Amino acid sequence: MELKPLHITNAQLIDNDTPRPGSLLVTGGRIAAIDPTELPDGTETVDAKGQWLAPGIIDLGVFATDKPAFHFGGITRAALMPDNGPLDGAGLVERAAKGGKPDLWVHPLAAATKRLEGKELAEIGLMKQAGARAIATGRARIADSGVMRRVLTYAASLGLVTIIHAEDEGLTAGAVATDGEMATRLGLASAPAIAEAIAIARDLALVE
Amino acid sequence: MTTSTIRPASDYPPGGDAFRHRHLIGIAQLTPWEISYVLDAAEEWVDLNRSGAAKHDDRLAGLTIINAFFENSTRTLLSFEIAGKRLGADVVNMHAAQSSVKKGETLIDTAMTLNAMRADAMVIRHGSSGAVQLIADKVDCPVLNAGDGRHEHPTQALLDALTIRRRLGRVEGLTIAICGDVLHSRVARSNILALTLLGNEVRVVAPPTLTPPAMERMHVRVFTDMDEGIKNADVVMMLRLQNERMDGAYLPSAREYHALYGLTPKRLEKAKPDAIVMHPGPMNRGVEIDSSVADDPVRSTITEQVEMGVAVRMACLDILTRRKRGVVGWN
Repeated sequence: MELKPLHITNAQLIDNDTPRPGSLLVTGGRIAAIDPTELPDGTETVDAKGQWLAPGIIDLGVFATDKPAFHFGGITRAALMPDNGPLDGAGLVERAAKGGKPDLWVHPLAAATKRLEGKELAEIGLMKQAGARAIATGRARIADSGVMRRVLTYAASLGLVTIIHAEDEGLTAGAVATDGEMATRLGLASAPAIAEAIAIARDLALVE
Repeated sequence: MTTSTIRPASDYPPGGDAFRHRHLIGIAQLTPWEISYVLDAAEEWVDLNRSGAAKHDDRLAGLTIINAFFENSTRTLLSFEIAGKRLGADVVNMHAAQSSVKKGETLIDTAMTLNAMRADAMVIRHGSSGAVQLIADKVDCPVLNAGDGRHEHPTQALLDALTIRRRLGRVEGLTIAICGDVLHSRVARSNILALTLLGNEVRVVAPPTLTPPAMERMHVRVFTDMDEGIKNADVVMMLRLQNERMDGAYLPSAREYHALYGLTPKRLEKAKPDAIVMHPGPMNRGVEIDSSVADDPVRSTITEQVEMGVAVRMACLDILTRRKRGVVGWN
């Protein structure tokens, strides 16, 4: 399908820092010019009527391919966390990668361990071949440091980034807030902020 | 037993300005004079409740009060039920165990259902902090918090303040030690707020595992040593220790807790000679409090607290339904 050149006029462009009035030319699916002076033949013009025109937002941590939510949020590209499923097999990854088409790019993050249980390595290599761009531990970290060490070295050998959930599960058990006056006054179960630092410190030590 | 002077109504702003709240969610929303307004109102009901056979006042006749308890309760539910009935209201109780909550209905759906039945007031207890506020935001009638999670239990703090005021003649300028599982206690939070607001020195005495973070930001002094914490106190307020806290997660054992934090007659000697001992109940005798202390008729206020509970709840139900009843000045 041949894409017609598209000229979006009367927009508030979001480029560096401030919105500014301007127009934008798209040819062949790519940005060709900002405030173009001449237009190719057959250009279709869309009047943005002063609305904002911004680059699509990339969300690196979504838990579902929710197209309406992406649409309203201006998200065009997302990394899908492995929790739903969980994404621990090549077939699941392949299907998830197609889940956003044709409007969005969805990049599945492969589950680091089988069923995300934090015990046995998942088929990370096969999931890479199926389109996984990175592996992730989902909504919880891998508590067992031995398993985590093997996950990290195995993923590194395949050139995959490992995305961790940085939270010490012992400190955060049952918590819904961070320790402090507000949590105490509202009567909320809370966890100390160091729960995050501890988890990151461990994994940094493991990759050294 | 000394009874304090009840301040005349002329000491307070006229009509609804004396208590400017639609709901009673927590002590956190109240001013000191609103607290004493409720206490003064409750004194009247103490007199009525003690007056013999006909303890009835029908000012809430025709109103429907729903007691919706999503968490088990015996004394608070009974206390609210008696309070409503003594004022002539039609009181119905909803227990979570028998309700559609068990069938998976959401809290807001349950609230909307109760609202559609046109209650004139709701009394709600729930196991989650903030749940009562959530319901109050959705319904058209006054909501009274009968305890939400570990957040607040305002009527308990009010009845405790009334008990202290009647026993010691005042509830200001006193040293009050709140001892035990403060972390999980809504009674402690509401009492800390009420008693500091009224101008008392409030201490919190608890093992470090049961002390909430940033406690000193609530203007209390924190102690981990029980003997230090109750030294020269006018009031020693004990909290109930839940059985499930004693199994090693927060405390090594009930035996060790009793040794370090249990209120024994010997330990009570550290407090002022005329210090009173309070407990919101139900007690674990031999764990947080010894029977000889709990049953001491001079020091212990435990049964009086229960009595004050009914009076305070009558006062709260009366005050919060005044708008609905069209009482002059309350609109």
